[in-house]
Amino acid sequence: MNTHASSIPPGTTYSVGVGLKSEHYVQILKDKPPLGFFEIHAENFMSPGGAHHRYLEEITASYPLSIHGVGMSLGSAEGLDVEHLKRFKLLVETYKPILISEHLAWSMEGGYYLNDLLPVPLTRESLQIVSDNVKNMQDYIGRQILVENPSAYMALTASTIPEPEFLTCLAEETGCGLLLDVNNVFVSGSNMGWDIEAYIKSISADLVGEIHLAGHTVKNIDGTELRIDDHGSEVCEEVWQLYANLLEQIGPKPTLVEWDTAIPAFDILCAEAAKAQKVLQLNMKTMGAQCA
Amino acid sequence: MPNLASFQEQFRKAVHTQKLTPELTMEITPGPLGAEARMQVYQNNYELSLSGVIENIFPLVAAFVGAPFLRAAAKHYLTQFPPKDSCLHTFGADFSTFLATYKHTAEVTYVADIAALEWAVHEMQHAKALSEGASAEHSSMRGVLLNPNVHIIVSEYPLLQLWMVGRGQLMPEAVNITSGAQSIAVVLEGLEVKLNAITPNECVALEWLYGETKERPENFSEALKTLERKSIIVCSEVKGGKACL
Repeated sequence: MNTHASSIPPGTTYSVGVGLKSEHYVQILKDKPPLGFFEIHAENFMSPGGAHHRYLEEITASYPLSIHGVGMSLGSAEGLDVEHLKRFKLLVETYKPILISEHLAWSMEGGYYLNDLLPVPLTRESLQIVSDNVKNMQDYIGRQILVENPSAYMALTASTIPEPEFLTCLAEETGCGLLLDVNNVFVSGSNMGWDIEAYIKSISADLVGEIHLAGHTVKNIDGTELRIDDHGSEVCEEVWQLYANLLEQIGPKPTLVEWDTAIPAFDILCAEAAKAQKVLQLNMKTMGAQCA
Repeated sequence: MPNLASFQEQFRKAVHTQKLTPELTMEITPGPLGAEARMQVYQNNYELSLSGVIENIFPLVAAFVGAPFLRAAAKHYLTQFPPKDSCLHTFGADFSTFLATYKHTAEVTYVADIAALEWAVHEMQHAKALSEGASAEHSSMRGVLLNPNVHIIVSEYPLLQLWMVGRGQLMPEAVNITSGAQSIAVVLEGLEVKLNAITPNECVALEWLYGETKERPENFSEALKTLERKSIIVCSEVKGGKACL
């Protein structure tokens, strides 16, 4: 197992953050909202310069940052793109994030980039490949990463390992942590008919370094419901309930509310974050009472 | 069961071609919703997210040809120039070239130049400014220090006026499309992206500076002064490798 500095520095409060969107830069700097941290998509900040960087520098002077990659393609059979690794490392060195995360997914093949988080067949071969890629990424950037469970729209016949088991093995093999996206568990579970509660219960508390919450949309295709993880609406009630159940099981963890499409007014995003903070605080109170 | 590399190649091709092969269908667990419908989600994500990137970068092209036309053009572009880099700020670099030969723009050939101008602005918006540490030393030509953050767009059309029409700053009827060629410099000056029309004399001076012509223009010093005022030249007196930054 590789060992890298944990993404979460000691003393980090278990607070709630939101995804940083350019539409909100000015209001954030003006209002300084009481949020725990901001999270960026790494690939949006890989250009050499520009206003995005200047805003980010200013915002990170007041808030901790989490860097969330969407293009590393940890599930690629062909390995990682060295140029992408270099850009990612530069970002980490520049902004010194408290958390770094990526996905159990792939997006690169044969020199083409597909701009999506594509499904990995969960096999022994894939586990070996993803483990190698995670180790390489952690070694290269010199930090532990958290690997997020993806949302998926299809199950693959080749898969032999249940997703929670695959992620647990990956963490044990590489020393990475897990980013548990509760909405993704709900979306994938609903689309593939998994036992969602059992999935949540099988996740070990000490592996989880961050939780994601987001909204999704429901489509009806030829009479069959398919949930699409579009991050374009409020978190649904079922996911809030799963989040509360998860916290009860694993204790408080840094939590992020994502909203990436149909970007709302910043106040709406903050209201979602406040809702998550309330659930988190209630959990901390309960946990405190239990400890006492 | 194919190995991971083979599965990913098949999957990538299915996304690119919007077609699902029988081999890949076998890899998708059957259920109430068919393999094609499930694959369609990934195919749609690919097409919509990337044509969305094009729509965001080229709003002025949309102002001239309409949003539905741009969306359709973006989809065709995607099939000819699929992205090869996970840094999406580089996706769209060939859109102007694509539009120049796109059969549906034969009546509006100037949109390729508008796209070139929008792309140059986009690039400058993501460039590192001189004040942020971009090096001008590498752009020293014939003893003149050039701003590294400059794009020159040479057009047969009145491009600056067309730009203003697209931005709603000029009425369309105020522009005569046959009124002649105009070249534009897109310059990152300080932290601001600026557009300047370039005179034929300045164009020749720049060509000489870039080594594209052997003959030094007659009124070169005059051109240097105006290019410096437009921030295309950072300094026209470089001595001993040091510039007057």
